[in-house]
Amino acid sequence: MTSLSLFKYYHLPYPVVKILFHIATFLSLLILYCPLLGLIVPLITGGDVEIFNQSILQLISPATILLLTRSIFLSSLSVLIAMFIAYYAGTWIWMRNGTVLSSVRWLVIMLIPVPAYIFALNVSYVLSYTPSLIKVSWGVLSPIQGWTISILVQAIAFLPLATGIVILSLDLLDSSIIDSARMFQSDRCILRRVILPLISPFLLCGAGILFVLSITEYTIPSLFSVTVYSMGIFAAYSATNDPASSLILSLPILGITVFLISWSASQLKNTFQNFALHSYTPVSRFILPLQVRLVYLVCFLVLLIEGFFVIGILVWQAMTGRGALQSLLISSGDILYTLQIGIIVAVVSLPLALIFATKLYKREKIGIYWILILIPLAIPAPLTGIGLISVMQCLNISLLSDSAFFPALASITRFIPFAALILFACMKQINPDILHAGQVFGKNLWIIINRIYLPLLIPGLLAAAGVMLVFSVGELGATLLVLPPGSSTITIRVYNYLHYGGSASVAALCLVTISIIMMVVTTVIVLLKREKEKLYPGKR
Amino acid sequence: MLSLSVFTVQYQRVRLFNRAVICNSVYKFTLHSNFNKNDIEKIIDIILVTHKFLEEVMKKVSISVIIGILIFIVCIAIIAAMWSPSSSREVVVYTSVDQVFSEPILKQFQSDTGIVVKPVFDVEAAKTTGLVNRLIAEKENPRADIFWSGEFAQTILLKESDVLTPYFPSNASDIPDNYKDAEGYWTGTGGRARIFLVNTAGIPSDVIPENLNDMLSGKISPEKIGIAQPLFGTTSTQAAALYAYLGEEKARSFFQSIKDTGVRVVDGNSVVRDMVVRGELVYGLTDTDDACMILDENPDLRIIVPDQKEGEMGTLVIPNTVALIKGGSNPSEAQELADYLVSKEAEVDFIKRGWIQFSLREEVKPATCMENKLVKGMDLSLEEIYQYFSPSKDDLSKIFIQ
Repeated sequence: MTSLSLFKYYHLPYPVVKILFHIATFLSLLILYCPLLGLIVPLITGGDVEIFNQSILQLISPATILLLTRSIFLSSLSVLIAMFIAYYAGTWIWMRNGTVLSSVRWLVIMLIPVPAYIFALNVSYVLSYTPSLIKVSWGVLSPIQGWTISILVQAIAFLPLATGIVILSLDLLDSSIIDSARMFQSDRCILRRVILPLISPFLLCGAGILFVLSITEYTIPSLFSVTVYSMGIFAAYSATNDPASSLILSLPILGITVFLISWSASQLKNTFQNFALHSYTPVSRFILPLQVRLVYLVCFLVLLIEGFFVIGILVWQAMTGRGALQSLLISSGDILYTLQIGIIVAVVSLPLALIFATKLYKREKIGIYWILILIPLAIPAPLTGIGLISVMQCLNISLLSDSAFFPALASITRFIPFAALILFACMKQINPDILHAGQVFGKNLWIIINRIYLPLLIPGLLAAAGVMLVFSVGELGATLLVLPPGSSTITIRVYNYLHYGGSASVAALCLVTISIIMMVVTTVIVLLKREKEKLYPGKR
Repeated sequence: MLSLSVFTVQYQRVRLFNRAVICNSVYKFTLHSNFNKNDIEKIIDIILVTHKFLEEVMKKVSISVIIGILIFIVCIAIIAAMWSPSSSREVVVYTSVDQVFSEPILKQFQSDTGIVVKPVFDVEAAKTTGLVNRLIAEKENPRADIFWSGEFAQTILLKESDVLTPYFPSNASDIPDNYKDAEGYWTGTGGRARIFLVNTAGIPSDVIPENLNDMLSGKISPEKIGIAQPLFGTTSTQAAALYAYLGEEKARSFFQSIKDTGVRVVDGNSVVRDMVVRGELVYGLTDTDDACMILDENPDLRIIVPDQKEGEMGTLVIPNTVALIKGGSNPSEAQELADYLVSKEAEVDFIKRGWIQFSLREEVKPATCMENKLVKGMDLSLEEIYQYFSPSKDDLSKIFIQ
């Protein structure tokens, strides 16, 4: 059943509706690709050919290929380690649903918005105060700088997000399957042969997304004196001040990202129909052999220690350092402005995401629309910003350029693929028979969409809006370039203070960011639970 | 099915949801059909259950009301984001000076003159994809009125890119000519210097560096020495200065040796500073503002100005620069701000706040942390250093990135 077929039975002529939908899709794609168009059109019309040629030569040089290979290796290992620990830690939390231990998931949510750089700084901070004996032993096992420590720290930085993905995938499992399986097999067997295969598509998708985030991240490796490919992109831009060189050097990452996200999404496509929106509370504790339990416990403790360590250091620095309160007072305007941008992003992205999700829903195979919608994930943030500046110059409407419009657009164009995937997942959950019944009883198209289809999509809309708001709060690279004069966001202030070294101020602002995101996530979860109760009353 | 369709049309007009009424209506329509009465009752039961479910769904507040509320919130958010107090005088300043220092200075100017200052700050984490590229990208329709930079190379780049307009500030007559553009496109003001920050705790005195070549002397493990990534920031400016002073071959060889020996190359000057403070590094190359900020907190820390002996090249002194943007909307306000930023009083204020440590005017004392320190600058003009900006970055990119 597709949304278009809704139109068949009603008063608007079907060809007209089809044309309107295609126009809406075209306009949505135009909005999604306006930064890229803003980059490419000036390059085609007035780019420096010499720099273009040099960039191509640099791209295919052995040194660049070696750097790319090493960066892929670093990211792959980081993601593997993160997903390994996350699987065991997340499963342990999920197995404890209904007990106090399951509230550790809130700690995971709190950690997700903490910038990766903060994790790295905290690790570096701890290492510097580690007693010499431990440092020497650690140094023998793993040098305090270099690839090994970069891989480990990056894995730790991505661990909260990875754990969140694992917990989400477990929460989407149908409880009846698990309960039935537990009647016939041991819990160890069920974890290995029932639960893991069921959630593996989600885990693979999550690993794909984490890999994309990792390969575009250079702040952690640079802290440990490791150069990665994404640093090379900025170095090229620094040397030439020409976005063409960065765009050309970004092509391999673009290709890898598109391939990975498309492949990850194909895993998800085939699984959504088997999942329900229920959270499983085990009727009895999972019984596992001691050695297996130890593995789960160790991974859970790694997550717990990391969480309390990061939050603890932030709180300690905020409370004991100088200038935290003053920074908060100075930043009050930035906090409000960040929230304004977040609200605009959350609301404006919904209709666009809905259109993209509908397009994805209609396609059985991974095709051009999947790739088109997912490509913006791979474009580096500063290039998005530069492209938007070109658009701003083209439009030259001061009302828009002096408002939060372009900062909001920067976040929308970067993160809307996530919102589209969430809504796509939600559409997959809807029972088509309900919509068929709506066609029987609905008077016209507007009533079906307004009073049946959209209400059923509310969980997806809430989740998509929440995700977009959270991502927009942390966005830096593109927002920095399109912010109107006199405005700033909380993330920009955090990074400015990081450079300055004001750890108390940084800690205080990080805690404010975490608080904002916790409020958003809590609101979304509460509303989602209420919607679930209305749609599936009494179901676990 | 035709009967059922007819029934559907009829049902839409039925207000009372009554099973008997439904059955009766359907029965009447099907008198002339082949439907079995039991079948019809089963169909009606299914319809009743489905309708009850849909009633529950449709009991929700109409989604259009929710959409209306959301649009209202978005409009309020957009209006709030756009609204600013109306002001007859304002100036837009793009500044790469650290927000922690520049923000209070600009607020002071606003308070003194009544001109509303709208700043745009740069962020170290965005590296060079920040303000300068934004200014170049906005060249055709500039939004900035004035550019205030913590160094000079990017300002000269903007001049070469035809982004600036000449202006000779009234308060700059006592600034030496080698710190001003001859054509008036930019004016230098007090600045910082490149120095070693040394943690002397537990180290022998012969390890303390005196010049840049000591980083390669092998007196201590190279892993205990740090510099910021030489492709960005003031470290890249110093790299360009070395290329200009030593020549390309010698400078290239120096940095290749830095890489090969394993000197730690980290994310920025503040990271170098923090690592020296924590003892992870014995010493590192950084700026005076980064070093002076924490000097009082730790008695083991010392500032060493490199290459100060007779015959040595001296260290790089990096002035701030102020330049007006071509086509800016508020030229007179920009000129007032430029006059303020290059004035002697402003230099004294910057030194007091800790942003700069040296004035370009002899009568103004340097910062306390640099008092009694002889600072011999490199005998190079800023334009000479700028000429090697791009070539040095090309080389260093090959050495440190690839």
